[in-house]
Amino acid sequence: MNNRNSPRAALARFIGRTCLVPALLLAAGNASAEMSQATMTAIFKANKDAVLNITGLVKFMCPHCSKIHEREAHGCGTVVDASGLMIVAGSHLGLQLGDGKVDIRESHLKALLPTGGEIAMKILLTDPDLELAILAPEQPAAPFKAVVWDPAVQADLLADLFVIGRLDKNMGNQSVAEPGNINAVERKPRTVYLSNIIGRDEHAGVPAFTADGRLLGICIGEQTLMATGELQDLLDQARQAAAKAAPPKTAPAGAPEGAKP
Amino acid sequence: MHTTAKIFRALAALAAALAWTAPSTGHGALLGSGSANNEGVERAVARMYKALVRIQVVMEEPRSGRLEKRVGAGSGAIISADGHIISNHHVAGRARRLICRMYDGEEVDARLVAADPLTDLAIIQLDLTKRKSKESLQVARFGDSDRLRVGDVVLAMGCPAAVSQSVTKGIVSNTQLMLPSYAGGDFQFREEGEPVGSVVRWIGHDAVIYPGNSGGPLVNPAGEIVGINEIGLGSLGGAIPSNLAKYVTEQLIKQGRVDRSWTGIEGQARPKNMGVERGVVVGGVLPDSPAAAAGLRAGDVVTEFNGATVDAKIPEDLPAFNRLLLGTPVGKKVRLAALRAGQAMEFFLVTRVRGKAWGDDCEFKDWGMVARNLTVISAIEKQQPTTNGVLVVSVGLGSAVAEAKPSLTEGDILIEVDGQPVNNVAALEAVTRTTLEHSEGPKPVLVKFDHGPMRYLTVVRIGKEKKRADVEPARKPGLPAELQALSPDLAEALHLKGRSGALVAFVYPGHSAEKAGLKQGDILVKFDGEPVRCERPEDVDDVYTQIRRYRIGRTVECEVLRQGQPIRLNLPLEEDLKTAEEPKRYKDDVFDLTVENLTELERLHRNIPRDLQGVKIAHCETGGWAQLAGLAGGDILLAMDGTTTADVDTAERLLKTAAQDKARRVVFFLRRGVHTRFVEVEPVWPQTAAAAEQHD
Repeated sequence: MNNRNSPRAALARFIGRTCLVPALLLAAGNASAEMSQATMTAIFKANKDAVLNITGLVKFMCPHCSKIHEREAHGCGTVVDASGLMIVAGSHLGLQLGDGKVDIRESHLKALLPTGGEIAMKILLTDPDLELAILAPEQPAAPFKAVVWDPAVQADLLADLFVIGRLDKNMGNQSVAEPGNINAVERKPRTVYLSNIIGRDEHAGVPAFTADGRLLGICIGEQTLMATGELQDLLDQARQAAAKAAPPKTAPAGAPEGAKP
Repeated sequence: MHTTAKIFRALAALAAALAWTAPSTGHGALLGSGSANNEGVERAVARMYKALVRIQVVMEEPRSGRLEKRVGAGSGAIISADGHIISNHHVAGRARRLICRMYDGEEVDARLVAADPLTDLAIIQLDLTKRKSKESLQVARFGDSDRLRVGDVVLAMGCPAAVSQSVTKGIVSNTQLMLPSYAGGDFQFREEGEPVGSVVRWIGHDAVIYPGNSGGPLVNPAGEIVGINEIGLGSLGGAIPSNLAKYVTEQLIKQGRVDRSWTGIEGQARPKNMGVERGVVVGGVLPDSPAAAAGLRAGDVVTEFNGATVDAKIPEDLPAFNRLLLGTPVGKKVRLAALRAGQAMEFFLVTRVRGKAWGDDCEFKDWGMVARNLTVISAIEKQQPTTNGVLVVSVGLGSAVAEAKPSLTEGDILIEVDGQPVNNVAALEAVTRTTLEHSEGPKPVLVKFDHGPMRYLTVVRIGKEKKRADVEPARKPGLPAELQALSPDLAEALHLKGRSGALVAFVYPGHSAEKAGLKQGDILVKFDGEPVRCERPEDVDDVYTQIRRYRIGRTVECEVLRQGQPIRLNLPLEEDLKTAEEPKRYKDDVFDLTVENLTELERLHRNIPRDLQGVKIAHCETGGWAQLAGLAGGDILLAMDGTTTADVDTAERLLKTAAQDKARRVVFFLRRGVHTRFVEVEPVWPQTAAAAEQHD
């Protein structure tokens, strides 16, 4: 049995090739062949730095035992704008958001920057239904590399898509790419795509792109991809929460504030 | 204290079980006809009854990192014209507040004068300046307990189960009662770490007593105190002999403590196969004690102490030996004759002062723990070379000390904080105050502590808990109505067999569902064209989840059945009421309660009128002043001392003002259900650790 923390295990977790979805894997292989390597490489290069690793601790009050639990955060998320607003799966923060409102007492989170530096992040908003959290830098920072957010992007059944993630520290926090396709589309009341390549928790919170390199949505786990347009109100609420928490300051030029080399 | 309380409760439970079936010797008979048989009883009652008091106590016990308050009641007897009252330590020794109810019903405040856990006795004193009655106090007097014989008639007087003054009659069953090992014997019955049975042989009697009789007098027919009721053992009561009680009382009133000598000898009755005819066996000698310095060791048999022959054939003989040791003047050089392996030997030791077994408990809220000073005895028990350090007694779940890594646990000893020695609780309080002088915290401090033989370093973030992170849940739409699953049985009963849907149990007035025309009793069968499948109670949540997937502001077509007829409604989706209002809260650390503004949802759910002004009591800490007074989570606080508490800000201001004024009583006007009531909260204002140390 592989050690859970071994590089091999980390890679396997991300790729998520379980015996549960062999048929879907086959379909993915066929579909991905239609996306050229050059296209995929271009998409990857353009967006990999918008996917950052998250590390740290979160303390929250357990609603069942009234005890403060401490959980280690590790995973990755998607930077959605230049201010550093970031979508992260709740599970990557050690939270079980499905229980409803989480009484978060303390968080010490850091985003690991592509330069090797790190920056302190805070949790702005949680969405227990989608098991997502929105993070923002503790202090205003220099512009982040972000995905191009377009709420109008749509895709159809069996369309190609391309997911970018990041491996954990055992694999040097390397960016990772994985092609696949859309296996089902639900349009009502919101557009949700199902894909074979989003079968594992490690995929939650990372971006998925169409074959022409546009951001289609964010993986939310359970083989599910939520379309960008459907996440727009969540981002709007997060921005409102950020504005309420602290009046915006002008971000300094140069390296993100607080970033350590 | 905790163990002691459990033992006492267990013993008391035995007594209680029998009390229900035992024939009553009620007041009517005692105060009745004046027959020859009752002559002594009447005299005793006449001399004692008005001296009896019911003692209402708020006491503190360390639990979950706090000094948790709880109410209790016991009995006592007035023994001086100055208002001194004798009772048990386990009744009054840990009191934060004492109120005595006199025989005529008047309630008079009292204070703890001093207590002696080793004999389980306490002296309190009435605040006579607060007494309204002009009648002179009836003062009880001590009789001679050594003259008691088995079969003598005695009366147990007190306030069983906290009812008013009561008298029961019985006879002396035993003049040297010891607790069997299964019921706290072998010195397991401890008060504040003191083995009560090591010096006390109780007067056993069968006058019915019950929890609440503790501290009340056992009285002879002459109306004299011959014992202080303390324990129950099945149908037997046990009273501390009055001669011992009288001696302790005099010491406590005179100097606030009982001076005792310490030798370090732990005596025990002779084992049967030891082959020794006389003496007290030394079971052990405490390290660094006078006995250890004199060369005594386990297995020696002491036959003579300070000129007195000593013997302990059975455990009942030991209290006399222990009293002899403890009663020797402090600093006296004493000769002991002993046998070691059959050889006569002689030892000389100089007694030392015997302090308390435990220091007083001090609550350190900023640390989330209760701690106390080390005493000579507790330092020896903890195998500490000195009494320097602060002993951790109780740690709160999720508290600063519990959250440290490594965490502090009960029994650990704090040695240093940020490089400064903390030799006692006063030093710890001082360093805490200095650290938090300009900030409420949390502030990290470097703590050095001993955990058994290990010496650890840790960082404790002391101070008030950090304000919770401002993390909001995403706003989602909700249905401003309560739904009920339409089970197959229910559908059939409503002549809708085979139909799916959700029954509308309640429609929130003034909200979108009501405006759209949804009514109580409707059956929601389609939402945005999709059938509503809701057959089991848990399916209701799925309906709400489905609705949360929509956007706030969107209008959705719903189909409902009303009296069997389909009706279509256009429902604009508004924000879920659960997230729309985040009530403002205030947690008060003095009264130990949390109040929050009433939300519209709360008012609707609980049918609280919209115009009712008040705040919700969200939570009362266990053992806090509010909870002790009878406030409970869910109550609505309408007013404090006559001022309406319309919102949290007002309540916060009034609570802070009451604390600032150190109000003796604060009247809370509450609403619970449809009932309203006035509740008096009577806090006792905090005592500093430094003040507590003066008692050590």
